[in-house]
Amino acid sequence: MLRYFFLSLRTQFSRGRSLFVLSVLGVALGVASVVSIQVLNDNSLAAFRGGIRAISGDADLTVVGAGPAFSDSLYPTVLGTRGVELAIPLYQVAVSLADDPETYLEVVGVDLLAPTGLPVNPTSTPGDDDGFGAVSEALSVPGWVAVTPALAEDRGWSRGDTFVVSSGSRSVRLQVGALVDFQSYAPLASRYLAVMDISQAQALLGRPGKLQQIDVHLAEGVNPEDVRETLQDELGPMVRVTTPSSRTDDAANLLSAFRLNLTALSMISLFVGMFLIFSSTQASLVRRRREIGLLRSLGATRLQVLAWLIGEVAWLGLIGVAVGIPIGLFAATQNVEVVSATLTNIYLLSAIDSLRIPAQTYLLAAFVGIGGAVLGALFPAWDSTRKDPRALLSAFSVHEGTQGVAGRLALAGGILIGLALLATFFFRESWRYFGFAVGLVLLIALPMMTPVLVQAVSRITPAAGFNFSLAIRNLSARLQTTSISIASLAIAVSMMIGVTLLISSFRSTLATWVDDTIRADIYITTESWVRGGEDAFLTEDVLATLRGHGDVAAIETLRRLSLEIEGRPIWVGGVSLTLPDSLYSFPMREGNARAALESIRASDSCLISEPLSRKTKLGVGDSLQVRTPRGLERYPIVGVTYDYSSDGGTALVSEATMSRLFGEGPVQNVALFLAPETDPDEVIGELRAALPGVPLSYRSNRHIREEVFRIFDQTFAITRLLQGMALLVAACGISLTLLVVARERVAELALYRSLGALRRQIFGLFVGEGLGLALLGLVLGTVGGFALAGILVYIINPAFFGWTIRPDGSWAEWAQQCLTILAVAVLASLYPALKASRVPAQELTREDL
Amino acid sequence: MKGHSPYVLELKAVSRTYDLGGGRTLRALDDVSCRVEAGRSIAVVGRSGSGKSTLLHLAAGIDLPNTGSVHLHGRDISQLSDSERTRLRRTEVGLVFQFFHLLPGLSVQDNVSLPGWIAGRSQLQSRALELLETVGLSDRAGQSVEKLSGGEMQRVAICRALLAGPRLLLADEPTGNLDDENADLVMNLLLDLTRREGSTLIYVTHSDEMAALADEVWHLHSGRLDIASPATDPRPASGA
Ligand SMILES: Nc1ncnc2c1ncn2[C@@H]1O[C@H](COP(=O)(O)OP(=O)(O)OP(=O)(O)O)[C@@H](O)[C@H]1O
Ligand SMILES: [Mg+2]
Repeated sequence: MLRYFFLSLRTQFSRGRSLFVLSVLGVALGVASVVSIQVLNDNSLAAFRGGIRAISGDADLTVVGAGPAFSDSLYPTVLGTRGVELAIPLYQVAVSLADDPETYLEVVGVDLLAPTGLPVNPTSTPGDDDGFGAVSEALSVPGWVAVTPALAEDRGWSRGDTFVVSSGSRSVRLQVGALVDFQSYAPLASRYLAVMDISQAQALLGRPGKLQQIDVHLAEGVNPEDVRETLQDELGPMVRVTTPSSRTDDAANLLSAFRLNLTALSMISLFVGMFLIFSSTQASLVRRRREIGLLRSLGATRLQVLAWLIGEVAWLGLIGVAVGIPIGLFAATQNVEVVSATLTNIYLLSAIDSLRIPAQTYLLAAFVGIGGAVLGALFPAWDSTRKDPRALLSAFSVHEGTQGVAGRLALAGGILIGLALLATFFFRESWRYFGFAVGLVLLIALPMMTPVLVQAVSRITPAAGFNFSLAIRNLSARLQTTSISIASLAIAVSMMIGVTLLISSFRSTLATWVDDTIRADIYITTESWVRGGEDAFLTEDVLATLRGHGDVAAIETLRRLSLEIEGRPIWVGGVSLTLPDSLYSFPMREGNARAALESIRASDSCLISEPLSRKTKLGVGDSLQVRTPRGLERYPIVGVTYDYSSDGGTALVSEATMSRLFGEGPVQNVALFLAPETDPDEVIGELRAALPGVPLSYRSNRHIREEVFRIFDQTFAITRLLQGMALLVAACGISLTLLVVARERVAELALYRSLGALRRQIFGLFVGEGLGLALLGLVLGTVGGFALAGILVYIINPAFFGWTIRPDGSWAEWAQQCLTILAVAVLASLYPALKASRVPAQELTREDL
Repeated sequence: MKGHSPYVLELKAVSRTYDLGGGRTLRALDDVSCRVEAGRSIAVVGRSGSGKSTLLHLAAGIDLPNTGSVHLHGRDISQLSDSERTRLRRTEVGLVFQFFHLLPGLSVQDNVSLPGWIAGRSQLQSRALELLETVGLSDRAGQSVEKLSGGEMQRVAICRALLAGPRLLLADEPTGNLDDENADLVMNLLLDLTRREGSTLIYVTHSDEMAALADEVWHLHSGRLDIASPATDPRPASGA
């Protein structure tokens, strides 16, 4: 049997080369999209994790701020706690490079004389090349910083060179004091990691007397949990004592929704690829039914034949995996930048430095590729071995079954959808992953509807000639083959349309929100504000200059703190609330805007954003638990606002409230309202001139809108890639189907030829059939796409991101997508059509119809 | 003299060989010459593999000779392009096959109309019904062909072949797949209809009984043609 297996493998390949290539390509593209997303997902946290590893090393515990940076007076307390052997204070600040403000250096200020475990050696001198950084000058040279060789090479720096960075409104010149390869020490660490002396970091880039983190190494034999509890009690509520690994978990949590959604979308291509395997297996079985019958009558058992067929498909899957992995890796490298931008801009994690391919990626690829292929082949293979040998040996049509089953299949699909709807009604909010389950049901039910649709359409199509109508009617004559291809196209189209609708709805909702909330004429912040956090503040003299400008009618300041609220780190804004009421606009989901404004002005109450409200299930009338220096305290929620700035959620209080709770502190953002008839660009020019060399970023109202949408589009760039992949797989499906159809219909084509059909008529007929497949796929796919969009907008999005999205879509975009799909379908049918048109009329006598 | 030849079909020293690979060739037709006058009926007999189907393919212009020439209504088909040959076949040649070759997705009437669709001649639609009437199947016109019996299927196929009013009808073992009773019925129908239409009929058969119904019988022996008139010819040869 094994000899026969390999023999037949060879014949299969040489006989159906294009079928083979297409099925391999289908699997490969499915594998590629899964691999690319998995690699990106895996790497999205790697740099962050690597950073923690590089800085904290094998620290047992880490003390981090749960609010603003904490006072270094806590340090001696930590050192003095029983069980603590070593405590390393850290000051971390993200600064942006002056000549490339979107590039951030993650500066870690450490006590370089302490045994930190970092590969810096205080005793070696600059000439030493022992692989460690020489830091003898670190304390004496102002701005001394150790950077990675990788970054130095990117930037063309060598030891002794200086460069300018900005932290908040301050510009600071740093000097490359040492090149230290943190990456060789903690392989996943980012190249943007930089280390300098802690007191220099505090003074130049941050604030003296403050710390962000203390790494703790414990004495031998003590129970970390005991020490953690003691430390937490001693240090008070404004810090959190945690372990390095749980910090990584927190980051993973932050990203989970983003990663899960990409994974789900990438699976769709694989799903479509499975349909491809289904039809190619089907096709090869049709061709070989006699062979199978012969094997059976020669004594092969059903199981043997099944194993033989499955084995063959597994080989095909394996080849698909081998081809798919490099494609996936290529796609990942091509998209690393957009994903990285999302990580840094939205989730404030480290940029993906260089892609590392975890070994399990290959395993996963093999699993999904071969598994998908086998799964796709299982039914047709099992179905064909079920028939008794005599039936297989006689000429019969495998399509006979589908015609009768079509109705029942559609009924089952309808019942599935009905049940899903019913379940949606009752259980929508009780299970977080419900949306994915419903989506899966939809993607399964949709194909079940296909045969009936094809039948119905061909029934109502009049038989009017050797033209498109015949092409449509022919689709129903090969129901099993054509249904599969229509179904796979429909799934790809559903995904395209569903995701596109989601994006356009989201975009238009965002546009409305931006219109409502972006009211000021000029927004000013610092260049390092995106990642610089608290330290990216504006100094008092900068604020004074801004206030002093003659055309500035009113000014609103915002102080941002990352606080721990309801147990999660959340951005809280403290606004000055000094503007006339009419200039405020809070798009309220709950509560009254005027009353809420009054309330946060007058009392320690807060507004929370919709995502936070959904995640905590808190609303107006409830109170928010905030970790303050006095302990956990509760503040009333007076309104829930629509807010699309963070899926983690945000809260808003008055600046006064913030100062009362957390002490005075600098502001990070300023909004300027200009006198009427003033040109904002002119004012920006004047302010720049008044504040020369201050690294501020000025954005006019128009500019900031553009920025919002630029980031928005960047976030969704990767989903576009996945849409494209799914469409490509579906196009392979169309080609494959038509090739199969051309092969199955050799006799019919020969008949047409002998009845006087020209080659180009046959060609036209096939392109027509391709078009027919595409049209039906589009119809089903559009229905599915709307349903999928509904699931994404109303179930998955609220559960994972927590936003209200108002459905909106443009017909023009839909029409454009339809045209693209039709064009792809026509392209995909050209080759099969050419092959079909070459069938000679003599073939007729050789085969039965 | 294009198109004005007195012969519907003329083969001049035609040979058709197949390359079997490895330097071996198979001579399916060997130096065959023959002429067919309009309105005649001819039975082609011979053993399996003697080249009967090959001869019909050449006559229909769906295959080309290696040497010699095939003239259909005076036109040398080797000189025509594929599409010219196809167009000629549309109007001048009707084909009937052993396995009927009806399209399962189409109704009886649509199957008959198919050549009209292909030729883009919708006016043939009504002729399809007339032809079905003559073979006694007009009441089945709207039905799916899958429900027909073998004999009925072949009658439908004959209607299809006659739709465009071809002057040459070629039938490859038209009764080979039918029981005796149906075979007689179909064969007589075929002869009657071609005669009524004034067409020429060439059919392949394995049965002496069927062969005896033709004006002429051609014997093929390993690709060589041996033309003989049947011993008892009930009709005077027309057009002679
Ligand atoms: N495409 C081809 N390639 C090679 N050989 C062929 C081809 N077509 C026909 N032949 C051979 O040519 C010879 C004549 O074939 P043909 O089909 O004309 O025979 P036939 O008289 O119709 O036989 P039957 O009564 O079995 O139908 C046979 O030996 C056949 O094997
Ligand atoms: Mg034959």
